[in-house]
Amino acid sequence: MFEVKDLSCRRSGKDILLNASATFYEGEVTAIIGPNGAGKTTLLKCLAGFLKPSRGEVMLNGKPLSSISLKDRARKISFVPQATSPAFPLTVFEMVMHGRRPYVNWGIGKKDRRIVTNLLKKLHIEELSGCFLDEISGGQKQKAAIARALAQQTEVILLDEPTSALDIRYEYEVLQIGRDLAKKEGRTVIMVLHDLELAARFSDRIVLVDNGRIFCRGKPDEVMTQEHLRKVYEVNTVIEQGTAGMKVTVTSPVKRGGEINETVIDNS
Amino acid sequence: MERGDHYFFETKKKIFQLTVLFLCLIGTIVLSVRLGTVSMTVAEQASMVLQLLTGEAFSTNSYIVFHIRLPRIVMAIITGMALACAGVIMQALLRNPLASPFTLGVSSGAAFGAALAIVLGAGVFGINVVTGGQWLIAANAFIFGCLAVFAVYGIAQIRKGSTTVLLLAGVAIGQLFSAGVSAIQYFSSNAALKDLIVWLMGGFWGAEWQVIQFLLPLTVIVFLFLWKLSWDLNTLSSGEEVASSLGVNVRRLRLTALVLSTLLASSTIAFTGIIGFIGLVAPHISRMIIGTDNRFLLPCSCLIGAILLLLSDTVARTVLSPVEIPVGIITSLLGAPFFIYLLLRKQKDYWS
Repeated sequence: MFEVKDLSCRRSGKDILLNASATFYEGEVTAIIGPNGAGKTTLLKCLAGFLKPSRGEVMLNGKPLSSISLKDRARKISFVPQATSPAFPLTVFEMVMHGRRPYVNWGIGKKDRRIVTNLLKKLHIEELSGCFLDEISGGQKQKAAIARALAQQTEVILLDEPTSALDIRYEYEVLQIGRDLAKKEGRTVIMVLHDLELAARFSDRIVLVDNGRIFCRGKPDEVMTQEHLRKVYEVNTVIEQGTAGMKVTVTSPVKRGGEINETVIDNS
Repeated sequence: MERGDHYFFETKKKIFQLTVLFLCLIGTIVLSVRLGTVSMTVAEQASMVLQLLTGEAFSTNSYIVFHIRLPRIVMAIITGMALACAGVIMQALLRNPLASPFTLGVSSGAAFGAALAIVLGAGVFGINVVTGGQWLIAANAFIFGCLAVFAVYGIAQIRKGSTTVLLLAGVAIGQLFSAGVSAIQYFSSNAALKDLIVWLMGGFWGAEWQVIQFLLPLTVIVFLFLWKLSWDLNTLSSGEEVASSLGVNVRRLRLTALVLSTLLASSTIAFTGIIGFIGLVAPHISRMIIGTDNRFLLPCSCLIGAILLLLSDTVARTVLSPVEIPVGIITSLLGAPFFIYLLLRKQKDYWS
């Protein structure tokens, strides 16, 4: 079990995260959503251990994250960054092999090679193995980055906006991979997402962050209500049940300064 | 063939490439022992080795080789290795292909230190410091080389350790020390000026077994330490956060690797003077040969650096024999066009 208790994070004199508490469960996908600059990525980076919280703790299986050594942490929590482009030319295979770093001291053994090969097969990027990262598409790169995280063989996988700048096909594929990791392998998958419909469709739980605080959390249909979206995103919306999931349509912005624009356009 | 097997095969190939490069270095050594104002045949070389092994008295030629030519050769190899190794490390740390002991200010700091020692030292003690006060110059060059890098690193730390700031601070600090060197040159006496200019151009006149006894173990030990960090440096190429998520203590890695590579570069520069381009060109050539895995890149770059610098020094010794040209001139003269050639024929996007 992975949880944060009363977590605050201060950067240059400003609270970017305040008293955040949340629990993330095994076998579930949790999406962190919220407006730009709300503190989604900060929360994720605290979970990854990149940022030191100024108060509170991140707890992994009852142990505070700060008490776990870096190497052990790398065997328990993996992280997929928003977009990777390495400083020097690197092949897909080499990049995924970096994920074995927490297990490898110097030489790469048969087992490591087999793990990486199988991961490439699993994510259907095996034929790209020898390609350099600047030769492949953004979606393929993202899959390679996921493969690297999987090579770490961790129980928790964190993804920072995994679908930004991907076309709809890769968007679907990447999110489906995330879902499978939770459902079929029982891992704890946590991702920051921008797209509300995708968040509702692919996650079991949603954490809605607003202005450095966790506004609310729960099942997608509990969190994503007209009322909540109006308060957090300052927009009026129509929420419908589509064939493949929730459909959120923004109808008008709410006027700032407390006055709420009540005109809701019927889109029938 | 399975992908994993392919990778295994690649690894074997890289080990083979390193072996070939090592043999090339041996070949270059044999060649540069022969060439010079007094040239030798292979038979003479063999008899010299025999004399060395049996402890027999040296012939004149053997004496020249053992006390003059060989120290220079060993010195060139050590310096080439040290500069190339420092180049790889600094490029990996800054994730920038332009980083080198030069861009981080080591060289200009060292130059300033040496200038102080030569000009002020010559004034105070009234001795020819290029031969006499060699250790004083070296110590000064080393201290100021380190000082420059720590100033650069300190500035970058204040701005949260961004690599762009690190590189720009390097340029700024470099300019500052260059101004200092110019000022010293302007105000120095003729004799000191000559010594200083010779030092600044870089060369292996100062090569003695005594210096080598000090530099060789230092270089080897520091290299081994840095080599051990290969995996951590590899993960750094995908960014600090990725490296951190892979269990690397990025802050500590940065500091240790920077300190060690500065030590490596500045301790050799201290004895040889400014030698340009090796620290920049050798890593790039090596990346084209052997790829970006630091476990292989680091030794490969050391070998390439040693070969390049030894060849340059051999050219510097022989092309206008018996007059010698400072090797720094040769490396820049050959290095700059070669570097431009590399830029133009690049197969992969190294500089995006």
